[in-house]
Amino acid sequence: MILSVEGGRIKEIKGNPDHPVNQGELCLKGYYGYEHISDGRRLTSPLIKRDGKFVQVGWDEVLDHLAECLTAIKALHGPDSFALFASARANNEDNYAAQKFTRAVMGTNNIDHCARICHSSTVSGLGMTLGSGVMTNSIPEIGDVSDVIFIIGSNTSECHPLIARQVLLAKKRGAKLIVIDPRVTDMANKADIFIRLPIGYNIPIINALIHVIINENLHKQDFIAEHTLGFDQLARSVAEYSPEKVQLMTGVPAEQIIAAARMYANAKAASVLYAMGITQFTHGTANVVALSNLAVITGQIGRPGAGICPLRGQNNVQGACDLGALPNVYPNYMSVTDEANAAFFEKAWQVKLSRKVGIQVTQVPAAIDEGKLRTLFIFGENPLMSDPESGHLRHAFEHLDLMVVMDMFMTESARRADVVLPIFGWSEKDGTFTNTERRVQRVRKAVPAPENTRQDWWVFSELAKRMGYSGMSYNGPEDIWNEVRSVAPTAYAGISYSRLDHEQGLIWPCPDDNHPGTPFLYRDGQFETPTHKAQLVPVLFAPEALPEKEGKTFDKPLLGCIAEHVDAEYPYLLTTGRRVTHYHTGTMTRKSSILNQVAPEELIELHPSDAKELGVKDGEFIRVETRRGHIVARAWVTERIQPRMIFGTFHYWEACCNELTSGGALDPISGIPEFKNSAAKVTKSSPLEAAAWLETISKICKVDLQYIGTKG
Amino acid sequence: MNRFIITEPSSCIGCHTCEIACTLAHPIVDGSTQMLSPANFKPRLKLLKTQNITSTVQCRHCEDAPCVNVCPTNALIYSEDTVQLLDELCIGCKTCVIACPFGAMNMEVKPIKRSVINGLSANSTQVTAHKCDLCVDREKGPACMEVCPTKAIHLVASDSSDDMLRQMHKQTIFKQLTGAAR
Repeated sequence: MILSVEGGRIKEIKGNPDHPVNQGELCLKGYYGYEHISDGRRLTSPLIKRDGKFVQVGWDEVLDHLAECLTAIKALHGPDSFALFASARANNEDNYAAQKFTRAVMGTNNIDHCARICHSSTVSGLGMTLGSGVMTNSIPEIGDVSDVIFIIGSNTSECHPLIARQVLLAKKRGAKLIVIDPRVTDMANKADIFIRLPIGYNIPIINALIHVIINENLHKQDFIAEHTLGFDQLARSVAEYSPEKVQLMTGVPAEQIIAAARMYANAKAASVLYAMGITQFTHGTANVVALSNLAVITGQIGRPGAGICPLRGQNNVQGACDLGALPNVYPNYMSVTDEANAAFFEKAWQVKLSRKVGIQVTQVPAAIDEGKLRTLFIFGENPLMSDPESGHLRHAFEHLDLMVVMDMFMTESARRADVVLPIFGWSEKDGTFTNTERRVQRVRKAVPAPENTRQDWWVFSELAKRMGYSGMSYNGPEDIWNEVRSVAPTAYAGISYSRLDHEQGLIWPCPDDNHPGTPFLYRDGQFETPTHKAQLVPVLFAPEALPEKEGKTFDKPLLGCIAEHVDAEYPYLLTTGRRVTHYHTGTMTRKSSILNQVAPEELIELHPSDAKELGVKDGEFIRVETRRGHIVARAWVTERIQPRMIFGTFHYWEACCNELTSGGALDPISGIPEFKNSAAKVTKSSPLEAAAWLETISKICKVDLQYIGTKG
Repeated sequence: MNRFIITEPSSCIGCHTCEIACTLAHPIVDGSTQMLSPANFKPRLKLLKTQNITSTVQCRHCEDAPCVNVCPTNALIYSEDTVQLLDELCIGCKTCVIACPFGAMNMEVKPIKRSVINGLSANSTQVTAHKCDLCVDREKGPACMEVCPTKAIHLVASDSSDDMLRQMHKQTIFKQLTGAAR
């Protein structure tokens, strides 16, 4: 993006025509979503809560106070009583500093971030099968090279508009499009084959595709023999998933499954694009592994335009993962339990480190309930709206000894904190971030930050100093980045700020200054697993309960089922997601008067037959309740959703779907919640009830606080 | 032939960026476009998402425009190969809204200053017709086309429509020759 700045304010944003991904195009958030940077509600002073009110204090006071508290807590309750939520929006440098602070200063591996609730299934799944949980190809290859695009569990046009643009460029070249989704998305309407499956039935569909491919001999036998392990088990595991059987199970016509299988397998170069519709299930890891099986046996991997593309949605969620903001790995995915890795970082950081795997974001509410976790430090995150089961999380937060939030704004989470610190926005700081295709890019300061705000890494650095650790005295973000390059040389040694000034980003691994970066991985079937071969893993599914009996005949299979089913009391299935206009919890985008005009409120998708039965017209209020809570919002009556199914987002605090989702239904491997499936009941509501609800939720979310000398 | 813009549904991803660009290109309040509110967010093209189609509806700048034909005050005229609305002449009778077969004409509330007494003026509102003006006063042309990330919005003018027709002729001949089904 190219920002035009006048008088210290952003005047206009345009796309950078030289950029290989967007080629100068932007979506509405890029063009118009910047108002929040200069919004009057920006936090401009550190705040400490005293007697239920936030009091403005100076930086020295708050940092001294925090350092004192954290030192005391560490001594009294142990390092593992502290946890940190890093930010998938903050720069690589900020996240590296955060995990270094957590590990080197606080002495724990309790660092995690929202990748836990979004692509942790990818990290586990592809990590298991290919050796690395990352997107295997670069985005421009989709538009330039792929001749078949296979989209599953991704509403690409709404959630990744510029990647959708690549898909459309591919279509203009004659590429074919397969879309698998329970809803009629815009990409589904452009697909050559649109498989409309019931929620949670990804595994049977993918296994059926593999079944057809093996049956019709479309799999790449030489590639499989040379570069994979486990084919025989895989072939046996999909034997029961014939298209006809899966048609009975899912309602998807067998001919469609057969056609899609042939189209995908016969492609010269096929890309699988997937997102939350695959990952956010109690069997999310199994879903990802099933996709990996599909791509590997057809040899659709390790070549330009052929690969597996987990679409990561946040500007730096890839970077946050890569830089070690995860409880089980150091930067560059080096396991914390491995003695050699721990010794390496102990030497680099000059401090003793814990070998114990830390706590995941989704384990935090239970850990607080059990008294194991007493301090939470959050930056650039709003867990009260983005994490599942908001009610439980609010309750848990009340039991913390200390809660610190660093943010640009007083978010719903910040309001419940004991200490709030004001930080820079994205256009106010220098640093790097890494997008979904592993491209490390520079972000440059364009406007001055409000007085009294600071950059995230600086806060960690200052706390570290006060707590007796001198290894974080950086002069600036470039210092931090150079340290990253020294501790993770295989990935980043060749990526320097000066190189990034000339290139349109560099795709890691980039091990030396002359290396051009690595757009696609696993060239010539060389995988990152210890055996250098791709692991094929049997994946089995049964809707009601894990198919353990069938699983016993396989060696380490992955089993999947759906956690919550409809019943007489809760006859609807609630699925959740995003819309193109807003970003996540709306902390930034709902401060844009422009974006707010396009989409000012939540609209819950409801099928016309259900609407008729409930007596609800398009735009009228409905009440949605699950076992966790209820919300009231307007309905969008459309056939894009299936009967007895509804769709809501987490963009609006007034009607956040996470009041309804479950925090207890987690994938045992990745820890990801089953956001995509909750049993719900829907009833007609009224403007009166909606107004009463607004009052209720305002009291809950906005928590009436009196500010002393602050803007609210 | 009159020019007009049209959206190609096969490329439209329903992102609303065009609607915003249109609104910002036609500032209503004192030339200022910041702080949009329901009062001044008035795109002249409307994005619709039906079950299977996502596309926009906007003025076709018809050759024998029903709106021009019915307007009692001649507020709608042909100009610069487009159909333009002269705001000042519009009496808000809404006949054009009914006449337009595309639903491309809307009525919008505009803030104005009404002369009240002795040269004093009061803030008031006026309802006038409102439609795509093809950004004739904008240097770079239609704002919507410029921002569309998938370039789904096309400007159809007589030269470009010749190209389009030629393409369609070729496709027709090909289909007739090969009997190829779509």
